[in-house]
Amino acid sequence: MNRGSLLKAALLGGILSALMTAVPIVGEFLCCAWATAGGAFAAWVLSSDSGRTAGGGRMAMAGFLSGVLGGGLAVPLMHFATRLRVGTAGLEAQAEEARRQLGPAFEDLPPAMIDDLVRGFSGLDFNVWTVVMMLMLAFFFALFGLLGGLVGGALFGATSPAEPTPSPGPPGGGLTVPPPAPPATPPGLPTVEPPRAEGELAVEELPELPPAAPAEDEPDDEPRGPLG
Amino acid sequence: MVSGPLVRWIAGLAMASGLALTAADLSAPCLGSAHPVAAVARLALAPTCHQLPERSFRAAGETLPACTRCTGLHASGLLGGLLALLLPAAIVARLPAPRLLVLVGLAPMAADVAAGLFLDGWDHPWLRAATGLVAGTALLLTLRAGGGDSR
Repeated sequence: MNRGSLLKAALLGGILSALMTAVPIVGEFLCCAWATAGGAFAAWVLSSDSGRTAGGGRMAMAGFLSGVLGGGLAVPLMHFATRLRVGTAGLEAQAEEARRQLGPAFEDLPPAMIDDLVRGFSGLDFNVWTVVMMLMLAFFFALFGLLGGLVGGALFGATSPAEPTPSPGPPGGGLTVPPPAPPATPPGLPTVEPPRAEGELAVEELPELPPAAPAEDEPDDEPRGPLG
Repeated sequence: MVSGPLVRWIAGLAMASGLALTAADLSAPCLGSAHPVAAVARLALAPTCHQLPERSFRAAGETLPACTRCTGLHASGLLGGLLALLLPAAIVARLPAPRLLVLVGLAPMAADVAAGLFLDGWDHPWLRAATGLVAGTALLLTLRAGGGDSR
């Protein structure tokens, strides 16, 4: 059975959510919906790759991973899109604004560290603070991706939980012919009882048997298999 | 229906993510918006939420860094994950099929969004939070829905 690639589905869903989050106006308007859409897309990719046999759990996991990847990818993509939109001078202005806003919160930190943080978060530099933001966003996107994967699992999941296993054929490998069905009695006609041998009783004429006594030597806690 | 160990994994991941998001939401009222953790949380939540102050809760004199609907969705990761793990089999057996559960869970949020778009003066912060909470919780319950106890 083709189970489909979980990583491929997660990567495609993550790229979709990261790209749409990074698009300036679209990303700001629908915000977390893109992470959810990426998760649902990952579930759909997994479903179509596996011929609609993938289970809901694998689809949810694909959505979760797409959120993680999408969150990680979204940060550099957003920085790139912002740089294209406002240019380096615009980014410098945004960083200055962020420094002014964050000033009271980070007044105890050394100025060089505050500068690194602001430049990393605003996209002027790619430094350790950019990686911190990528990790945080990956963690935050994960929930929305998982919810999207669950929606996808419900919409595109396998319709039947288990496929019927084919019964083994006869030793010769030929076709099995089902036994002929008894002839149906047309409605309105009286049913004809089959002829009975002499001394044979009909079912309704059988005498009642006394209830069987419980076996004394039968153990009560006999093993019932691994799930018993 | 999802197999048992996978349910525990996915529910645990949802709870971890929901806990982190809820902690980020509560950082401003608990620590003050001037605290570094609250400042970083506000920056990190920006790509997933519009963070409009007029559509966000206020607590302890501080505005939460996520909108009311996102606050409900974040909490649903915690609640839904917990329910998916701990729901007794008797209740699981009564859950509707996953597709119906998704529909029932998302319908209130969709109705609230539509009412906000088309009805003048429709602004109920607690309803937005509640519909987000219901939607996320219902989606996480699809892990256990559709055929019985899958733990």
